[in-house]
Amino acid sequence: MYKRFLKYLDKDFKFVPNTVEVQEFKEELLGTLMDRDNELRQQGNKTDDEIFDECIKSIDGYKDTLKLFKGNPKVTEAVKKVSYVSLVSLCYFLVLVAAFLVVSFAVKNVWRWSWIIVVDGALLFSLVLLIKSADKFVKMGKTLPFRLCIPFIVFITAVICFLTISVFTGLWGKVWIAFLLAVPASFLADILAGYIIGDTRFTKASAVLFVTTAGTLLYVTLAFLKVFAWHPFWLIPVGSFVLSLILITLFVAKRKKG
Amino acid sequence: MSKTGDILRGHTETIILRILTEGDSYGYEISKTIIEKGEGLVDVKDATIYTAFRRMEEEGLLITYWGDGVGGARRRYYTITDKGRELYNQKRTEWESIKRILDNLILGGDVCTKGF
Repeated sequence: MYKRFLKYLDKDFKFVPNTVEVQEFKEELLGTLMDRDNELRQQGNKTDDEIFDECIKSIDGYKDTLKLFKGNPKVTEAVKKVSYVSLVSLCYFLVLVAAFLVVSFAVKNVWRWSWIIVVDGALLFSLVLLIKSADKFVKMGKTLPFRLCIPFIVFITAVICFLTISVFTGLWGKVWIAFLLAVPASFLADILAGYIIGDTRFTKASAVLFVTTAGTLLYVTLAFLKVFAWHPFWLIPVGSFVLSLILITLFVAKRKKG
Repeated sequence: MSKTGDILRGHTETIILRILTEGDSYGYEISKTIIEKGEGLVDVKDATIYTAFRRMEEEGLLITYWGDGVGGARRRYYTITDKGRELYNQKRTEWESIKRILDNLILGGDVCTKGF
């Protein structure tokens, strides 16, 4: 009988907007029909067809409730928003491509690097979307998703810096260091963001990781750039590791006191 | 609805809230309770109940959750909220005043000098 009720409701709901609310209402009706079917069967003396008709008759008028769902403003708003964002994205990318073509044809010998207009433009777009999402999460009180956006924001910024600097300076072999620096930068950004929005969960862990990675990566960067020699400045990462152990000890001691 | 049912029509929400103060329930059970306690004189359509549920949920008077039903179907259970309880208590007080006044007017007895 379940399938028979479901088929009936599927037919009746065919031209109703397929929103979550409508689907849930349909499921609720199905539950009611099955409850009534169960009761009528227990009473006995009725055929399947009689039970089916009686159950369907009992939910007569439910289409009035459906009127509350038709043209659901939440769905309409969501569709409008997606359409708007898609249109803006499309226009933006068309402008980028047009700018790329104009610059490439107007200026001599720039095809080697003019592609950066499109790539950087796309990355900037992603960055702006991510920052807007992060802002929305903060306003909604969803601090954890906000903090999860931070490493992505830092990483995309690193990619933009890497590509832009490399293309204009030709120092591809050195500028990749931007990615190394992005790691401690994202931990630091997370700590700052946590204190700004008042969500200090995991900031202690971020602090420990920041100290460890900052020391190590600073050492690797400066040694690689030949600012100083690998030895004895390997003491820097060792020192940062010791410092992070001290921090952990202090945090644990503070927690036990509290 | 019968004439008695017409009189009760405006109180569907209060009736639902009262039933839910006794415990969580679902649409079919609420409908059955109303019919049983209405002594067969009240026949509330499921559609009326569902419309009332939607309105009450939007107003924050009740919240819902899903539970298992029979034959593989699910049931949507309703729980009264604090706001719903407050409204029910208010409506109950109003009803008691109305009932007292109507009793005085229709059945006779001391006329209540207080207004509605």
